[in-house]
Amino acid sequence: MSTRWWADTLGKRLFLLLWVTLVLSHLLGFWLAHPQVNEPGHRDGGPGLHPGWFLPSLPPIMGLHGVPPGGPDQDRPHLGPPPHDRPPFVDADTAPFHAPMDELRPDHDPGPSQAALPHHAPPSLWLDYAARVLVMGLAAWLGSRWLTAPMRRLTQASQDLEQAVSRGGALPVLDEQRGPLEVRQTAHVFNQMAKGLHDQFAQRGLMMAAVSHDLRTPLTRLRMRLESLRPDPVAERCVDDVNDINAMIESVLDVMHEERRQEAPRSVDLLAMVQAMADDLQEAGEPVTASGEQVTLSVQPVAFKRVLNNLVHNALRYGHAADIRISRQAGQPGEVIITVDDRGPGIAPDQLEAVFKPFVRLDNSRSRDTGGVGLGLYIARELVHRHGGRIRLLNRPEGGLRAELTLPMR
Amino acid sequence: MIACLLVEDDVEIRTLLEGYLGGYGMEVTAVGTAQAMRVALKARSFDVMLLDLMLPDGQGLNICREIRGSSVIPIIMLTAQGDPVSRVIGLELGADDYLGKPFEPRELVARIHAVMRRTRGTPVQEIKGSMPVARFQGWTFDRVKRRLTSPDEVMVDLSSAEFRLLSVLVDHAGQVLSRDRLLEMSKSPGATLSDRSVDLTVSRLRHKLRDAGQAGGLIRTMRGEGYLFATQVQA
Repeated sequence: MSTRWWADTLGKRLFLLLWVTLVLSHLLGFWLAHPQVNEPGHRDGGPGLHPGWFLPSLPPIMGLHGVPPGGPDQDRPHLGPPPHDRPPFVDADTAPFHAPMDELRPDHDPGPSQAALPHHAPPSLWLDYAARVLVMGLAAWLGSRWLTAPMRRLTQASQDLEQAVSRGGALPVLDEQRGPLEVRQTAHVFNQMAKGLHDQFAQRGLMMAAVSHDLRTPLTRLRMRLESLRPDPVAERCVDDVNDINAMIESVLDVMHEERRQEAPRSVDLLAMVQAMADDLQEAGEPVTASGEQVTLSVQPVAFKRVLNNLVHNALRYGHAADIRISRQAGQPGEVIITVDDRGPGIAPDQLEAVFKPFVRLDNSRSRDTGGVGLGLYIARELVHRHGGRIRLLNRPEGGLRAELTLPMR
Repeated sequence: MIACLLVEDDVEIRTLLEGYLGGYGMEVTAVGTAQAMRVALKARSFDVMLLDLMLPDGQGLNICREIRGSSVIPIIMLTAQGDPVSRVIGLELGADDYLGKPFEPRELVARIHAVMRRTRGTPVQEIKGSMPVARFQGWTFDRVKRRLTSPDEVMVDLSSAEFRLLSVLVDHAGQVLSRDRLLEMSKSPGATLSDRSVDLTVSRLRHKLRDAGQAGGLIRTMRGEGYLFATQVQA
């Protein structure tokens, strides 16, 4: 990159910005003070220069008022003595004030002359201020955009990274060859971090798959061995334990899969879905009913079925029955409400929210013989949120717990 | 005697299953690799195959496809992965059933019998007629994904009983089926059905197919004879 040498570090960029701003503001100030400067007739200064156009903050510029034939040194007042015949920057007869030239020399105490400025040239001072404010403001705006461009790229990349890690999109890569040194270093570190995160998530998935596979193989052996001991009561209990362990593996795997899978949404007949679920459970002897209005809604079918399954199985596990009902809430754009009622003891009001946290289960007496790891409601809420809906639990006044799922109609 | 080929890489599960299925009057040949499986398949014929998805020398899904290229042997896949995606893929590749590990040993026996009944006990015409995806009057009935889609692309879930019944009806479109025949053909291992439950399932199915049950409907009641699936079915 050819611009590397000057834009190498943030410090150099800042320096460049300040320097360019200073020069520009001087140039503008100068141009305002000497509107005639480009006209040849005024090259030698003279009475054409209006005293009001003098800008106090400008350094004395001799050359443009007619260079005295003393040599280039006299262009720069601080390098040599001022000419005697003429003040270095204004005509004596048109000067707004008659400061002795000694006072304007840098080696002299400048106090008196600066103190004198505001009194003598208020209009030009305001013009001067305005010009500087304009240039500085413009420079600050452009400069901040210029200096923060890498930060905006970083912000965008961080957002993309979040997507890439949680949804499996393409990993964002920052250009490590672009921008000042600090930015290139940041880009390098960011790219390494992104890759690390991505690898870790991928590994986590692979590891879970491997662990679940490796756990299930010995579980299968154990299950087969127990079969030869049946109908011993101890063996029966062990079979239940095997099933519990397997259910835990399954729900942990579920969390992994749900985080990653982006199932395509489809139009689904919700009533048919809950009826099919209820019919299958009835066939297996479970007290499940389904009723309500026919509603067609766009959902992720597998994910949504998992939500309903979790709610219905909770109701059966803790509440001995599940009654599913679908109703439509009028309004714009309207909502679908699915309730799953059970006939159990309900939950203490202060626990109604806690059960949505992962691995939270209520008192042991309730869950000991019923299995589960406490991920069902957590998964359900995650999935419902993904559908733009919400889910809550409430104790019904007539007894039993109600899980209420609200989804927007789209 | 059911001749069973077990392909499983875990030695102990092989031994345990051999003994267990032997107790149910099955003759089990157990092998540990895809290579040994190919040798065994050449040596003799089997009634059913139990295939583990993870083998040291090959992926179960590829092996499944490979066997399907040359044989109609019923395949039950056994897998420790057990996620719904691999289940669907497995069934799409021609496996007849799918069982996640650890399984209930008795369920494995029931599934073996069910698969055998489906392939051996039923007329050839039915196996041949079982197209994986059937279309009728705008509806799509995907038996692999167990999914019914309406003419306006809405997914309509079916219960297992409705699925089995529709499956039989689709296979016998244009034929009048008596209740007994429907009951016999749509029953599943473990579930008991009555005449009344057939009627109930038919009426639910009609409702889901938006069929009012009148003369022009999809599923017609033939008085005294049974039911008729009155439509053309395309693959």
